[in-house]
Amino acid sequence: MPISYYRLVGEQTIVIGTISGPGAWTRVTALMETTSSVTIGVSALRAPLPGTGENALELIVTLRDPLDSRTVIDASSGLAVPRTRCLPPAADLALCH
Amino acid sequence: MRVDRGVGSRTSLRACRSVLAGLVIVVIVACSQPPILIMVHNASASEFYLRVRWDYGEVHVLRSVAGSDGVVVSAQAGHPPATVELLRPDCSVVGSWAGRSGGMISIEAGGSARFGPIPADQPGPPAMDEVAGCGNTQFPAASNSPAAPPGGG
Repeated sequence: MPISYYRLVGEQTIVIGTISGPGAWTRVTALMETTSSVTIGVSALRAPLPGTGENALELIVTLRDPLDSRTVIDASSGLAVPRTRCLPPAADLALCH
Repeated sequence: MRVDRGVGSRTSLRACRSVLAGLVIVVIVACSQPPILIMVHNASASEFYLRVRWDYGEVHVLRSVAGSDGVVVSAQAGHPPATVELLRPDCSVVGSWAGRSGGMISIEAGGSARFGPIPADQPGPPAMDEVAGCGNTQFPAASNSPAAPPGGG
């Protein structure tokens, strides 16, 4: 699942934002750290349950080392994840980056 | 001697089915929990702040403009519970609510506040601006300056 943004909440703690739907168990399934990047993968297991709509889902990720200037990469796309400083639904606003 | 194993087997099977049914119910309930949604309705003529803090250390402070509604917390079920505080612009606390999974903070015309259910016909309110200061960890206040919008306004 794509990661929409991340927020730095501590030296070694980030919160990543993704979209999840009803009846889905969404969690971080991949975390790989190098000296220059942190690659994170998110997967969802969907149960056959009723429900509609999607919601912003935030997951807390604890890193082995401080993030510092490393790039956060979405494992599903290989692209850099934009950093935000705001809560959803404002996370995409320009003044939050 | 004939040993009747039928009764014991049926009892065990019944017990297994009960446990399995219980597990299925737990999974269904867990996966069906609604998202966490906390809103604010400011019916007063004053500006207030909403400070949202989580146990893992993140704190956000949002601006509630006079006469407006806004989304304070919008998260999927299972997200760590937050403590939401209503603040005056000088950062003094008007009210505090911890571990709520959903509801609306209603600020009355006189400035008092209560926590209640979100009205059924409540339209989706807009996102709220973050405010620097009052403990905001993402937008800390500049030294010797009052809380101000992140854009420097």
